Amino acid sequence: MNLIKTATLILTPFIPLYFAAMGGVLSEKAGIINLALESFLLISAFICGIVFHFTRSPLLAVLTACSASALWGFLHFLFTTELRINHIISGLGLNIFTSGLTVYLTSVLFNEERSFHIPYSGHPVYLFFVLFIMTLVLVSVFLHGTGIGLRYRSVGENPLEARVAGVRTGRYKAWGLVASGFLTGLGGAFLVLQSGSFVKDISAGRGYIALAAVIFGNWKPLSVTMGVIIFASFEWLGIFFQGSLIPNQIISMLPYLVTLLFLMGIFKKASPPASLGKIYG
Amino acid sequence: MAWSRGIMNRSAKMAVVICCLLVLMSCSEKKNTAVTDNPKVGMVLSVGGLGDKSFNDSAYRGLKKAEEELSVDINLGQPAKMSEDKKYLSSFASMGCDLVIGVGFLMGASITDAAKLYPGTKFVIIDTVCEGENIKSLIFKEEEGSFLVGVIAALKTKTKHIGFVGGMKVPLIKKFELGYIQGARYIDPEIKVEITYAGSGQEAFHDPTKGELLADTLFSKGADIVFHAAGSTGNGVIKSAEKNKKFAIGVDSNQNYLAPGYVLTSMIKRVDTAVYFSIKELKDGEFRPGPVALGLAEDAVGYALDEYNKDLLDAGIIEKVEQIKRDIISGKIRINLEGADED
Repeated sequence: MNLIKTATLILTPFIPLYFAAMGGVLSEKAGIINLALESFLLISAFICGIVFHFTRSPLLAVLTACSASALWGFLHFLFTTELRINHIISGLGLNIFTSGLTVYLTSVLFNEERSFHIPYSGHPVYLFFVLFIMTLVLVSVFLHGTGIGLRYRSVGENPLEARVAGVRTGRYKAWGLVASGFLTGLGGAFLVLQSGSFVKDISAGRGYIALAAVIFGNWKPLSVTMGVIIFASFEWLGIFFQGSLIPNQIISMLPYLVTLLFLMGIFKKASPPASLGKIYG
Repeated sequence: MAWSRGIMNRSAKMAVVICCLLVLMSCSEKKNTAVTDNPKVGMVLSVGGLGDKSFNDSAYRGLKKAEEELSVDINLGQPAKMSEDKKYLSSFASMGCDLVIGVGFLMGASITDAAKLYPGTKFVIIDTVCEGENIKSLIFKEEEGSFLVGVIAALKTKTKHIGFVGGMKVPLIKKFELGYIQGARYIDPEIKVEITYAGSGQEAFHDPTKGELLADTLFSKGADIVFHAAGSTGNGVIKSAEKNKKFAIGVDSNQNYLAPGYVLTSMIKRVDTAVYFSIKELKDGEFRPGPVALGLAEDAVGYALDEYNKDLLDAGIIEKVEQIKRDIISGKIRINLEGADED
């Protein structure tokens, strides 16, 4: 087995989850619950496929995909903060809307079909591995090593006091959600480039799993990445143990069980941003 | 905040305009209603409608063929959501259709209800069995077609190791699995058949990334042919075969063209044949209610052979497969479906 094959096998379940989870960290650190991660993945996967189909340029495809899900991030910001909609409802609404929208547009653009193939034959794994290291360093340093990151976190912890201290909370949230969408878009683009096709609901629940990893990692970029590694390796174990005595449903269930126990405070107290999901102002 | 409130007003207006356009676009459905003495047939497709390159398209081909060759009048219903199928079924029955066909197992309950309401109309349901004195249930012997592709895989493998990627472990998919294993073992009792499933929820049928990962794993463990029965998750299996320069086997419709040279064959389900023959029976006055299982003998399942894979299957293989096909039809080979309903 050569290097590229091994790298692909190990990283395929990891990469989309990682980018979605980082998007989740950025969003939730600004106090906005992000169930819309699923729709970010889906819209970016769709746009990546479409743009690649028409331009044959992987770079352009990835960039437009990220911009599209950044736009979705901005929508989620508008709904939750400006229109003061419940965060969960806004997130679920975007997910359902995006699922329908992508299917509809696929059928319009591709002669009533429900999926389409793209003639991409490269290996996106290396590029995305580099992006993984870069974004992990960037997000960690930004959140926990800069003054602007401190203010950003204060928006998620106590927005009223932050505002009194002169922090423009709305702008922080808006840019935070745009960045969250942009990062998650990398995961969606990977899904399409890796499998060479877009199909209905290709995100397959990864946005929700990523959100569980965010909770598991206690909203800290490095721990969340560890959480994603654990979740992805459970997916791996599930494949490895197929056909053995242990039903693989049990193995796929374990990470969620651990997340639940964690939320119940069995290992260590979960400490979400204090104003997560609150509507104020 | 003022800077975004302004945007909100304008974007709200835009949203209203876009919604109106979408509603207008969805109202352009056509219907075919000519008045003649020919038998009238109504068909209700499953959600998804035309263009799925699989089930619905195939059923519609059968209906069109019946229209051209048997001169029947046809009506087509494409429900936008599952709850609408009842409406189409009863409106076709009340407008005097002699035969109403429901495509897909999801319509089972609606067909049973409609058949009670309209005892004078004949009904056909595809892919599941319904009780009723005026219902004919058409199901497929997927295990027979899968047996044949298992034979092809066993004859073609160089590593004596083949794989299977199923969507979800349900009785329908187990039929594919069991037929495939027994076909391969029939050729080579020692062959290693590795079985994997993509998941245990709805998403298992639309996750090509997972399909690719499963196929990559199977190929890296030494398998050189992988058969999938996993909907669009299988797109990833075919992509993986192309990437690893190995073979995939397609399912339901002919998928050979998706990656020419890397799709060994496809296990096809001829829904069009099933639809055509049930209409022909009606026309000839031989329509009989009750369940019917369609298999190789009726040419309702089989393996695909076309210009994309003719170089992959030499004459020896085809001869052997045709011989086994005859043996299955004559009953010399029996496929054991024990355990299909378990787990």
